[in-house]
Formats: sequence, structure tokens, C-alpha cells
Amino acid sequence: MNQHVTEQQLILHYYGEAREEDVAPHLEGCEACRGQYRALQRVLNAADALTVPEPGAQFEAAVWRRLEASLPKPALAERLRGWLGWQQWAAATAMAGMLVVAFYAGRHSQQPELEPMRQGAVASRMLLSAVGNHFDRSQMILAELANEPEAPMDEVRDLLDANRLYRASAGQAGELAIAETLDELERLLVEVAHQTPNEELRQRILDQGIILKMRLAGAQVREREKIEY
Amino acid sequence: MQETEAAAIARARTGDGEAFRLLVEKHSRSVFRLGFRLTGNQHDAEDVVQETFLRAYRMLDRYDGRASFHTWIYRIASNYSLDLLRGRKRMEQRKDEDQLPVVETVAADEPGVDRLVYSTQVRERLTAAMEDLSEQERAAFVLRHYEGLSIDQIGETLGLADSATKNSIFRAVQKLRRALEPVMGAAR
Repeated sequence: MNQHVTEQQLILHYYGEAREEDVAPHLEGCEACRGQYRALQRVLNAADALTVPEPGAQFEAAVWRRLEASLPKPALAERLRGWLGWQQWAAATAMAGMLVVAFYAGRHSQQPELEPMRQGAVASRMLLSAVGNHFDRSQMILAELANEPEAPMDEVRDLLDANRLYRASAGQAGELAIAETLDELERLLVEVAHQTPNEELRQRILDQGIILKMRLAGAQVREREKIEY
Repeated sequence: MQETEAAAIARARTGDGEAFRLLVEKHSRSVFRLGFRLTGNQHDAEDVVQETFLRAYRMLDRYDGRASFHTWIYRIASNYSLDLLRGRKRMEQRKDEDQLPVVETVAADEPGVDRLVYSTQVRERLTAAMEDLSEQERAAFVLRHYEGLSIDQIGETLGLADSATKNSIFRAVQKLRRALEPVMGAAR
């Protein structure tokens, strides 16, 4: 084969997918193509520099714990009850109830005119109330994380699980500002849940001002509750 | 091992949670890695893991065993990751390539080069270049380069013809070369 090999052939050759009879013999005899191939190799080898953080030893167990609660099973309620503390359970139940109410309010509009509106208001109020409590609890746990030597890791993981529920519910309810705040909290909680908090992380919690954000978000939600309901 | 997995799939289809747990434990770490490579962050990667297995559980009846369970799970994870990327793209302004930090061209083997600075530059360029790939290019490249799937398997995973799969990989590699070669010294 006298013609030089193409870049595409070199890429396939790198990944072992080229027709080797077309590429390998040519590379042996052609310094120009060998140079091209070396340049390609350098770039693709450099791509290995992008590493993935290795999840902790309990990763699989944590995935299953969260997943099991979401799987459609008759025993789901019992499992969830053990999985969340009673307060989160009550709030999560309220949230589920809210979604059901909101759903039916939208679907069954043969009800008297005022009924769907009233049901929608109840659902929104339940959301605000549950999320307000969640912000308060987050504020306390974050303060503990930033200031106490012993991190409440079980509480952090529970908080993360509950946060996922609330973020999804807020998004579905069109409460985008709340969903965004919960998203920011979730990013931090994911990080905390996967490492033992150290001085750097504690400092970052303080520097980010997330405790203050939780306090403000909680206050705003309560203010809305008062004004709107 | 393969028999064990087939048995677990069969039992999971009947609603056996413990059997499904075996599958989750076996594949969740690799799904996390794939999710991280595709989305570029841990938060989304964890979402990918949860959603992938939730969808897998719901669709278990549709798994026909033609592809390996691993490939099937990867297909679900890739599709969900691509959805996330598309959603993110709609929400965020794309990073302009011009915003990349201006760096001096250095050769890796040049004497006196600070290797740490060099590898930081490479990593930064690489991260930015990966973000600049289209969803399809990124998925095809990640599955080929990092996950070691063959062109056939990638096509099957992403629902692409061989030629489209290859072209996605070619374009991805070309973009990475354009981004990296300036900091890696003369190409040839």
C-alpha cells in the first residue's frame, strides 16, 4: 500500500479496530505516518489524565439503600419508614400526599369550580411547610458539620435522601428558586456524604455561606406561607 | 458467573428484590464511572446511577438477553446521561473556546519544564474540550476510549449505525487534538 494512511485509519488502529493489513505494514515502512501516529498516541494517552473519583467502599450499599426505597413494591412503606427518621417520613409522606392531591386537582375538574383551586393551594402550602422544615434541619446539620469534630454522617445521608425528594417535588411544582437552592445543597451533601469532613471542607461550608443561605431560604418560605395562606 | 447473572435477572423479573440487588451491586460502580465520564460531575453521576437502575427495574421484562446485561445497562445509563447533558445545555451558556486560559506552548520533554504546570494545562484543556463535544461525540468517545466498547457495541448502545459511530469518534478525536496539541508541542 503506497498511499499514506488516513487519520481515521490511525484512530481505528489505535483502538485495534482497523483492518491491520492496511495499516500495520504501511506504518512499518513510512516514517511520516509513524510520526502522525505518535502525535495521535500522545493526545489519546493524555486523555487518560481525566480520572474519575473512586466511590467509597459503601457505595453499592448506599445505592441500593436509596434505590430500594424507590422500587415499586408493596413493602415500600415499611422500608421507607426505617430508612428515614419519623420527621422526614412525615414530611415525605406529606409530599407524596401533596403530589397525589395536585394530580387529582388537575385531572378531576368535574369537581365544583373552587375545589381544584383549594386543593392546589393546600398542596403548595404543604410543599412550603415541608421544605421550610427541611431548610431548618439543613441549617442545623451544616452548622454541626462546620463546627463539631464528630460529623453526623448518618444524618447527612438521611438529609441527602430527603433533599432528593424535595428537589424533585419542588421542580415538579414549578418552584424553581426552591429547587435551585435544594440543588446547591445537594451538591454539597453529595460531597460530604462521600468523605470524612476535614478542615478544608469545614472552611468551605463557612466560606460559601450556605448555612446563611439555608436560614434565608427557610425564612423566605415561612414568609410566603404567611402571606399566601 | 454468567449463569449467576442470568439466574439473578430471571429472579429479579419475578419481583425478587434480593436478586435485583445483586445486579445493582455488580454494575453500579461501572455505571457511576460511565455517568461521571459523560456528565463530568459526581452529582449528576449519582443521579445517573439511581435513574439507570430504576429504569432497568421497570423495563426488566423488555430485556431480551441478545446484548449482555452490562451493555443493556450501559445503554440506559448513556441515554439518561445524554438527556441530562441536553437539559444542561439548554440551561447553561456554552463555554466559549476563546475563554480557555492562554497558555504557552510547551513540549513535554523540554528540559526544565514544570511537569505539574504542564499536566494541569493538559487536564484543563482536556476537560474543556470534552465539554465542547456534542453529546453523541462525547458518548461515543467515552464508550470507546474509557470503557473499551467495540464500535459494534457502541452502535448498539447508542442506537447508531457503524459509520455514524465511527464518525462521532473521529470528530471527537479531532477536537481533542485541536485542543491538546498546542500545549503538547508540535504534533509531528
